[in-house]
Amino acid sequence: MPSPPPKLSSRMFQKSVHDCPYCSFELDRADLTCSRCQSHLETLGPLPKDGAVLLESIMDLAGLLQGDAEKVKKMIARSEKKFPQLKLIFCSIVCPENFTPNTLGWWMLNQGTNPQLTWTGLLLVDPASSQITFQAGYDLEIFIDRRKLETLLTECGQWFTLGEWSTGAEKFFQNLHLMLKNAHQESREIEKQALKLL
Amino acid sequence: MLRAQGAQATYLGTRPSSFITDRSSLISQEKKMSLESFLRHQSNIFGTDVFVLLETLPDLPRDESIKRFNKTGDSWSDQNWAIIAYDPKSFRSPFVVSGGPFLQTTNSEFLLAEIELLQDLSLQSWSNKPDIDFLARQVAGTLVFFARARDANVNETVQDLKVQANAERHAQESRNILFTGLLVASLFSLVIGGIICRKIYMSQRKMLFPETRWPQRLGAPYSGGSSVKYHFEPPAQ
Repeated sequence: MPSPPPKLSSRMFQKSVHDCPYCSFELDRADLTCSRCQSHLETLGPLPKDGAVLLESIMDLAGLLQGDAEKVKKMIARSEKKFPQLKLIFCSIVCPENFTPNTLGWWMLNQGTNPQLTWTGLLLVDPASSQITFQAGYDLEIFIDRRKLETLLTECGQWFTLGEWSTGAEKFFQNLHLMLKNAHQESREIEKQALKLL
Repeated sequence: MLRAQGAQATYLGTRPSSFITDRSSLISQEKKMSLESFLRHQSNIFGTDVFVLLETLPDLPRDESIKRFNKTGDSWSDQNWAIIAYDPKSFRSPFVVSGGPFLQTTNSEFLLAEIELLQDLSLQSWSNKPDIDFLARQVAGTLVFFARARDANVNETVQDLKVQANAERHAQESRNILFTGLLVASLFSLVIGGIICRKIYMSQRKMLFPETRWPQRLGAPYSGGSSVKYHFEPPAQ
């Protein structure tokens, strides 16, 4: 039986840098705390050991999608079928006190009980603060270009401004699907080149 | 311009008394007698007159010569006839001209082809002179065949065969066109089918990203967090 190819360093594929979810300071790959604000995950509070939430594809806690959830679910399912490693989530929620959409999304991903959390992408919408954020697990974030992601969020936000919540979400996941297809192609090329050199 | 000075070509005059006029002594006396006897027999029994003229011929254009031979043949014979005229001093191959009642219903293409073949066969590789004896006998036989074929409606059959051959040729051409069309259509279908199958395959194909090694950030086990966010204008109430 042929042995699986060796795991390559994420550095080879990394498309963007990372900022601290608290203060947006640029982080090194392996910083355990932010060198500016000294924050880390447990700054938010300890991760729950019991009652951790199973993340579902559509978590419309703010009731934005109403009857149109199926459209968004369909788009998510299409991407998950094409990219079986991934799990994509849409979440609308009014952030509780002490949380921003960034930190809340981050916390949700790290406390979830789903398998493949490192391959999960979470689109979180807070209608109260009019913010959208996209959080990705370690495995997925490598292949997402920050600039392209910003463009997708901008377009999504424009739909939200019109009150078209489901359309905005649908468009986001549709464009994300295309972005991931390109990213996949590029990553396979890089992998091929890298394995040749090994 | 007439090359012959003095003696007039036989075919320009009245019908000769014998079927062979050999002023150039091309064939031997024995052969001459044998051939004469044969040709007389053909004439008496089968109504086919074959005249052999071996002499200096006027140097006329070919078409003109043939025209004159045709006229001569019609005046010398009221049966089926042929004139074989050969000038041993010239480089021309023998003239073979035929005519008579049988030509009206004969497949002239076929006859001409037959005569051409006989002329080729009469050429002797060891000599630059044609075998006139062979040619005369074969031409006589051919005319007899065509005359009898006319009577037996073989000419109609030959015509029918020609029509049939044409029809078969057309059918073959149609088959070829059909076959080519089918081939092109098959290739086209194959290509389209291939494209469609590939599209289906590509749409069904699962895409897997490479597995990588990554360090944890900020003490988080699954996600290192992101500050990519967007502020949108709240929708109008």
